[in-house]
Amino acid sequence: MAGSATVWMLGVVVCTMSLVGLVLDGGTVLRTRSDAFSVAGAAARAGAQQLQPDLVAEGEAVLDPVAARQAALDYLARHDATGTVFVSGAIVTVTATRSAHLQMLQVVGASDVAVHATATVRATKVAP
Amino acid sequence: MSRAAQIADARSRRVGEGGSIAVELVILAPLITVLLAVVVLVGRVEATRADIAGAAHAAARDLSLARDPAAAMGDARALVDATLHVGSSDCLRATLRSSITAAEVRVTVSCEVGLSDVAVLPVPGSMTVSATATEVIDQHRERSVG
Repeated sequence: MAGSATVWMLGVVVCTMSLVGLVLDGGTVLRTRSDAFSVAGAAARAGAQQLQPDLVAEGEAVLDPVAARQAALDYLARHDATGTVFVSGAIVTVTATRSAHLQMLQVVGASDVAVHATATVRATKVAP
Repeated sequence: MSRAAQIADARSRRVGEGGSIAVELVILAPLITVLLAVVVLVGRVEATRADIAGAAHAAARDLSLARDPAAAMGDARALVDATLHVGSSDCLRATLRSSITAAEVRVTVSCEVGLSDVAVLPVPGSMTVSATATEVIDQHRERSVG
């Protein structure tokens, strides 16, 4: 009979520990997602400024697709992310992937979660 | 045993069970309090971590857009202070470091998180968390010189 109370308290302790896990690891995943989105945007911007030099001299903004893709991938590699880059016309689309390392939820068998974020940037000419 | 006696016996037993839960609750109340304090502690540190990551990205973007990034540090500082509610226990003090090259702006924001109000735990009065963001500078944009 006294055991039923112990089970109840054990339940409360397990629930509270799970709450700590959700706050800690949930926070890590959300932060990683926000970081991944920022990295994707910055990589896409890095790509979108790879214009064809001879056309820049004439005042035209035309993307160099190969250099744009490479610049975006370089940015991702330098900032602890992997991902894919698509260049189509003046538009650079980057999907960045970052890994969130979980601490508390390891006990239920999830140690790393891959987080993806996509950003699109268009190279355009604006009035100076 | 008569039926009335059986009912009385069962009732007294039920009262006994309820008492054991109350006693355990009293014994375990400090543990529950400590666990809830851990939730508050972890929540506050995590919330500030998310905030400073956002602030670092915003400041780096702000600097990368400025015609003269080095001169825009004041604006970036104001942006970070406003984002982080500097002065509240979420961020007692914020520091902003930046390194600006021709191609990139790199910003590191650090925040001292106040923990003195979760003093039920043996934690130091504050903890410093930091975040770094790097943003590329548009090469084809007019910039002020000097």
